[in-house]
Amino acid sequence: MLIEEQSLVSALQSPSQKEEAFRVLVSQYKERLYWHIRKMVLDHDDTDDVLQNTFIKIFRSIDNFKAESKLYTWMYRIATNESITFINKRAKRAQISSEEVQQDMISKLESDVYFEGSEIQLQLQRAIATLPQKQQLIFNMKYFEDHTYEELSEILDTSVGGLKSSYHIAVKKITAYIKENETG
Amino acid sequence: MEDNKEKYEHGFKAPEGYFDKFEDNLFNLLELEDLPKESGFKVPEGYFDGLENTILQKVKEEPKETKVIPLFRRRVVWYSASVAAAVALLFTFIYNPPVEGDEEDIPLAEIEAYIDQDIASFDSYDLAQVLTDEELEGLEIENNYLLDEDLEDYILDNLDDPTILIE
Repeated sequence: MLIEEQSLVSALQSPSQKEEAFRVLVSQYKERLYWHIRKMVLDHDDTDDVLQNTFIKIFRSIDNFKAESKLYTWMYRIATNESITFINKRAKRAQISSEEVQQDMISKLESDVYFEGSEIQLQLQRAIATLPQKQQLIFNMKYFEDHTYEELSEILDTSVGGLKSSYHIAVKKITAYIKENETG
Repeated sequence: MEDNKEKYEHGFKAPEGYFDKFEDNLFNLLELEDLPKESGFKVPEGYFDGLENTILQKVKEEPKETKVIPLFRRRVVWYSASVAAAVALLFTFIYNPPVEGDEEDIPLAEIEAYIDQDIASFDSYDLAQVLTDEELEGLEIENNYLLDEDLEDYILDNLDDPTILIE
């Protein structure tokens, strides 16, 4: 852990400084975690809910945070779990599979005022939505966010070798999908 | 390639099939280069500005106590699942009594297909049908809300035999 991160964690774990330190933590990570969640749940309002729940969970569990892992990977893990829980809950409520939930969310993307992607960006999102959940995560985090495999390995609890092969499979499926669905 | 074999063995190894898949992987990555690096998602203007306050307010509103999850619930769910499965099997036999005739007529492949498609299709959705909302909520809490650290703490605090952690 970096010294800076270490002092932030100790402040977060001290009752008198917790609130101030938490404010710093939120401002440091809000955007990164927002975009991480957004790529999974796609809609802005849903992302806002999941992001807030993620920070609430971080606030509640910070006392249990152990210095063995990095604060940042620990927070990403919580955000990832919260996003998956959100999708699964929605699937359960609608009595459909989580893949169907994602297809449904993708179909709404076209009319989403907060999606200003071009046709090819929309197509890329459609292609990503066809991947299994874990491959989606790996692809998004590697392609859009530039995490290292070592960071991903800690966040997703998967070996670097496994991540690399999943990324290659994801890339293959995505390029195949784009080719198959090419227009004009 | 045999003829390109180096003069001395260097001792390095490449993973099996690495060179076979190399072009494939490389061309896929090249194709990816043509795709946009931006996702196209936008946020409402000023969304991030007030987020610290919104979240802090929410944190203060939330009840402080964390939910205590009874240790037995998991077992109860499994009991209910087994009972449900047993009942389902019983009904299968009552309403579909074995057809009289030569069982040997049924090809083995068909029996296998039946097992694959029908029995294995008793999935979480079917299970969800026989459980109440409360029980499902409980399942979700168990599966998703427990942090590894919490579980570890619980085990360390409540078990006398720490060797279980090695498992």
